[in-house]
Amino acid sequence: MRHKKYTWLIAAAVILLLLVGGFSWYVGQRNALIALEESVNGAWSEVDNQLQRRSDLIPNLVATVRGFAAQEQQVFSDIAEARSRLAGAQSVSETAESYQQMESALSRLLVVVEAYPELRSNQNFIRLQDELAGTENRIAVARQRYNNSVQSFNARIRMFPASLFAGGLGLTQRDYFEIDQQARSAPQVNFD
Amino acid sequence: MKLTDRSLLPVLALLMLIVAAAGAQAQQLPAPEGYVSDFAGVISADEALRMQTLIEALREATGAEVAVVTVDTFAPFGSIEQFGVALAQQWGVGAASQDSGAILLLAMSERQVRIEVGYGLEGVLPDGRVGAVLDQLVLPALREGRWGEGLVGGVEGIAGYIAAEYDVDLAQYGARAPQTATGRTGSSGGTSAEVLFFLLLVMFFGGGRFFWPLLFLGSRRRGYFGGGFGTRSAGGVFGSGGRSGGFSGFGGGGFGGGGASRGF
Repeated sequence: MRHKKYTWLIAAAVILLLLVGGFSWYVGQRNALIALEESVNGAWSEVDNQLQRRSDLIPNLVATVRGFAAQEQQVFSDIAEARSRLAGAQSVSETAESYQQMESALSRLLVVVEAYPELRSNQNFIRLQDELAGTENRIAVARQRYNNSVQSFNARIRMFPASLFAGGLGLTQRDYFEIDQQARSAPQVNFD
Repeated sequence: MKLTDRSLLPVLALLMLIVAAAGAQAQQLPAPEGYVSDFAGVISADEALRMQTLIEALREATGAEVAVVTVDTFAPFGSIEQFGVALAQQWGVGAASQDSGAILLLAMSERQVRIEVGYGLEGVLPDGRVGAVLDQLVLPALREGRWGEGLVGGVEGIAGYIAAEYDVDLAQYGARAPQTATGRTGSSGGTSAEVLFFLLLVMFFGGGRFFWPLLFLGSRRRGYFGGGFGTRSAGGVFGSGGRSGGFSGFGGGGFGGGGASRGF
């Protein structure tokens, strides 16, 4: 009789230990997932910042170019359109799309500029072009860091054991900031 | 016996591949030789010393660090921008607490030069200014094949802007800023309007940019904290840091791709 009582006690202690251990293990897993998700969020806001910064640069750039090449209306309106689309973009894929649109509008602008040697040697324009190139590079860096963080987050929530409860925590796979390589290649410029 | 040998072969081959890949990965980014890492061998001893003295004085006075790097090629990286940010981030140029670092990078076979600016210096050295430093102080010498002299000019320009920002005088070590900053532009007229416009631009963008890095303090920090203002032990990794200064590792600053590049 006494013997059996001890067995029960030990069993209860083991179960309690397992419960406590399991719970703290779960909390650890959960916190790690949340930290990973936050690093994705942080990386995304850096992408967003740099995209915004490029948008902010554009009015100055357009104003400077307009001073020399006022007749190039088409490219200015393309840029304005891309800019407003970027401002309205909600999801990662929409942002990526408007980013590409902006990219091609800007490269058309830079092609147009080729025809105005006075503009190309203008100090303001050179500075703005440096700012623009620097910002493009910052976007590229931020984009790569974002994609890396998405990769580790997605891999983690898809793999066992996190795959068991990631869905329950409302953690779903995040989208990569993908760029369609074809759309990125040199834009078609029509001088007619 | 023979069978086991043969079955081991693919495993061995795979292992060797992995080791080779790891080796290649490590080879991509060389270790710093000091503030001046002349991997391409194009800088004279005198020029290297001048740059080193100026960079040490700059670090002593402001905490900012500058690295000068020459390479034969930035391959296997796709562009000097990619190589620059990878190298700068790997080395951690600049104090970690302020991300106050910059790298002046020269790639000989591609004939490209770049100044990579750390987060904390982006306010002092916006891309437009960096481009002006390259155009006015670096490219003229590089175009005539005087590599070391061009790099010295670049370091002097970078140091000139940082020194002005921190209100310290490093002119005795050669620090200077390009002409446009003081008002005299190269050739064309309309100077005052241009300068005013540029100043507004710098205030507008420089001001905003200064705060962005703060948003990511938590995520970008490495565990190690370098010293802040004028502390001699900022790098401290290799434990030297005596009165004579000397290179003792970089502080751990972060980079986000700011700066400007030029071909020559």
